[in-house]
Amino acid sequence: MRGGRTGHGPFWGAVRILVGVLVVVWSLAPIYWATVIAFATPADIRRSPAALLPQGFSPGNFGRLLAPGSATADVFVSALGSSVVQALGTTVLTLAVALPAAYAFARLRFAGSRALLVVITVTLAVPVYLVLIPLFQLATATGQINTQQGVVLVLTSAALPLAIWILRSHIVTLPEDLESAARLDGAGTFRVLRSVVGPLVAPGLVAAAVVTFLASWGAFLVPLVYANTTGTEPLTVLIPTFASKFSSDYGLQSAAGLIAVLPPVVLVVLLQKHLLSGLLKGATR
Amino acid sequence: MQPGATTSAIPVTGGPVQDRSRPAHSRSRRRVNRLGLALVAPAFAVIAVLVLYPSISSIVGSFQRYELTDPNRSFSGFRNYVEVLTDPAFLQSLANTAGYFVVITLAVLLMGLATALWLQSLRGVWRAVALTVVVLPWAVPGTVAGVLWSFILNPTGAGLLNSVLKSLNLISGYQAWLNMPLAGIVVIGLTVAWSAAPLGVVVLLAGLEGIPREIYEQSLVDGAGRAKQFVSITLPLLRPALAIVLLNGAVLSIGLFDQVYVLVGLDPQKITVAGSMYLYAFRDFNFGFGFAASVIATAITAAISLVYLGLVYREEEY
Repeated sequence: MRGGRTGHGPFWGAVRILVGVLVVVWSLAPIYWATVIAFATPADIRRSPAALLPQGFSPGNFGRLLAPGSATADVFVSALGSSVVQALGTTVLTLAVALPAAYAFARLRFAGSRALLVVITVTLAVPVYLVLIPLFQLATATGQINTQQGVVLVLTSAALPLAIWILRSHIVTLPEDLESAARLDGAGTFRVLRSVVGPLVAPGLVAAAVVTFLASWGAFLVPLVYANTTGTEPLTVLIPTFASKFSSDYGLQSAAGLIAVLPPVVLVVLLQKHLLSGLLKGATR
Repeated sequence: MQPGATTSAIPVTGGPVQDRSRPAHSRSRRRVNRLGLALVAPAFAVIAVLVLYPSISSIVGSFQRYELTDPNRSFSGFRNYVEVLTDPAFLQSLANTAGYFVVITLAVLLMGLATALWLQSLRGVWRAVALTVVVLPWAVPGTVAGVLWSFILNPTGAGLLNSVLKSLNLISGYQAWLNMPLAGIVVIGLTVAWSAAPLGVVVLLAGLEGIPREIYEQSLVDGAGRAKQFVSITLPLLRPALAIVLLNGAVLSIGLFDQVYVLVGLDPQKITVAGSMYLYAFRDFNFGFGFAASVIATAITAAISLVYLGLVYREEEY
């Protein structure tokens, strides 16, 4: 029970409810409205003034978007595939590279560890536009333009510093005794990493994985420059082109938008608890 | 050990001196060094090649002539900077960025604080559900958020905002919100705040939870009301969290690109400094100007960061 509880008068109670209603409406309105449009008929979408509540349930927009042979089906499915490959690829590669580094920074006092950690922390502050042109030149010179692995590498470099930071903050909070016990039993460092540190650091791994996935699934400037042709362009690059190509077809655009939003939203809803506890633990260290 | 060999180029300090003075420890010490460097090597390699090298390359390139159509790559001093800083289009994007910064920061700060305080007053399942709702916009990619908001801001009566305001008789005719010069920046800034608020709420909520409860209880004994508690306890103790939110607002508005791109395209009246950089580099193919613009944007971000960090760490006591 908090001390503040006793301070609740009817005034603060009303303020609390009002703020709550505003927060919920504000957070959900864009998603709600796109859902209404996505499942509406063309006539209902054009209605002016618009009806605030859904007038029916029609999957027609999704049909037009995904029906085999339609103008959009092939490019959309291809972009969905690219989004999945790039976001999952970046997440897996980032965690695979970040976890050993984070462990070393948290547990081993090796020569140069401090300087390296400072360098990696400083790169947290390097904005993507500063590295955009040189990476474009590098990718052109090495033939990595319009390849999935090219995008994955750039997105990984952008996600790494934060992932290392989150994981390191976690490992620091874990009891060291367990590791020394495993080591006394004859386990090597990689064995210790896999079977002792791994399970304990799971909440941190989940947080780092979700943050990396959200960032790479939502990335725009990087794929816009390095992967902007059919076959490699992800949903974030494709969907804005719908706005000009099918400018008044809000049904099609909202159906595409909803599909693009679904994977990250499901992830956040399912993993919200781990995500937040993982992030907050990292924030306080 | 192969990985150790690839990292030997990294400057190491102190190691060998200690080894000589304490031979008993030297072998384990060297093993720890080698293991540490081996574990860090892959991450450092990625960051060195894909972040450090291109950052330095941008800074060097900003002092060179560099146009794709012209093979001349000679050193040109501050010419790129002078050209960019006297380009009306760049100055306009700088002003737009300042506008976004004010709107985004204020909105995230006020909404974030109100939301975090509201969340803190909830318990159990309600809190978990409310937190999920609040965090949800974070999951929406910037370009898709732009598309979602374009349906709400639609200039005809089919748009949610026009439709609601008209039925409440708050506007006489349907408004093209995004085409207005100043109001457009405010509206776009608010849609960006929609995406950015969740992170602000999480940081502020963590800050609120970190304030010792005894301080509130003591002030209650001293007869302080809710409003007084907020001003004299909550706000001062929340300063580090508030600084993070401010900092994030600055970084976000300077680098803002996707939502603006979707809502209004590369409209010179709406793009940010990052948008200018994109136009120099990938429309005009003048990489020299692009480098200069990106270095200027980064320098502004760095300067703002240092000021905020200075404010936070100047004094921090209960």
